[in-house]
Amino acid sequence: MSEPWADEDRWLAELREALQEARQVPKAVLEAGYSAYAWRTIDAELAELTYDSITEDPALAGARSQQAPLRALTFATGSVTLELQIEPTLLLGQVVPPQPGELLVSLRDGTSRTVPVDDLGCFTVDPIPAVPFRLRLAGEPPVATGWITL
Amino acid sequence: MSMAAEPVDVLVAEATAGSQEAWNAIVDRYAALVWSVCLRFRLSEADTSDVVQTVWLRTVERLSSLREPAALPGWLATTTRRECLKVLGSRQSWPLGELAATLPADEDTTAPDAELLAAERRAMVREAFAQLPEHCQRLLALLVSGDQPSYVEIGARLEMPVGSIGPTRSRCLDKLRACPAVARWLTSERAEQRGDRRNV
Repeated sequence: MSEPWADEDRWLAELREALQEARQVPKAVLEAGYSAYAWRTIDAELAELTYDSITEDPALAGARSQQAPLRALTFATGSVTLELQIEPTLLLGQVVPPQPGELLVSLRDGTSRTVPVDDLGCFTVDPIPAVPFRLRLAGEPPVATGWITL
Repeated sequence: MSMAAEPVDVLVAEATAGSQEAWNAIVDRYAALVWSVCLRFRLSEADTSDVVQTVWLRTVERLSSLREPAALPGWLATTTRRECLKVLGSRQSWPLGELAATLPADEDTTAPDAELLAAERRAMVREAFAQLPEHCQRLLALLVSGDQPSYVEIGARLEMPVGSIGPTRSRCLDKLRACPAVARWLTSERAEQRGDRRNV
């Protein structure tokens, strides 16, 4: 069987494309990358996105488009789950098991605010942040979600 | 530039330990991969910039838990693709037909597709190129440059005898193919060609 990758010209063509592609990358893409490093969290346990109604079933989401679409997200660590439901203008959430206290909402633009978590673990973020944000729950260790873009 | 040639597992380890320089080298190496995956989805400039930002932020938070740093390019490509699909999904007031027409042909959002693999392959080639000795980089860059200089011009520019350009070119390409990432990939390609996926 022939070995297509044994051909020098094929490698040169591949290299030409690869180097060209690298030159076309907008500066903004690199700069967004460099500055993302400042958002490293090293103390909090990362809650994984375990469910997202959009990616779970995009066809179904499209079929429902007559009504206002409801999006639901779940973030979880081994011990805590954050259930989020996205309403048209606000975000409803619940910490399971309930953990009354405060939740920190950090926005990508550098601002943050806290919202109360009630005895049932319920909280409301109103309005929905217009920029990517993450939620952080105090505790031992603290729990933080990844960045959420709605 | 000192970190540009470091293997990815070294960069990941250093960046996890707090080196912004190592992180920047990761960004420099893979920005074109993230960008090329975004291009396929023809998102608006604003949506593209949201996707790119989200991908980098996810990568930063992922860094310390990456079990196999060599898998980073593949992870980046799939994550970028997933974020692009998510942006398209959130535009769901569109009729379903229109949405479907905008999506790449394959519907399985978890399986890698040919274009995604090609994007990863180009990232691998750039990584291997960065590890070549300087004289190889200069020669190969000239050989694939847009103005396609003749061997005589290349010889003059690099101050090397015209007769040695061909053999040097072969040796440099051999080095490119011998780079660990490329060698691994070639092995799996060959296995696939034989229809043998056990070693993949």
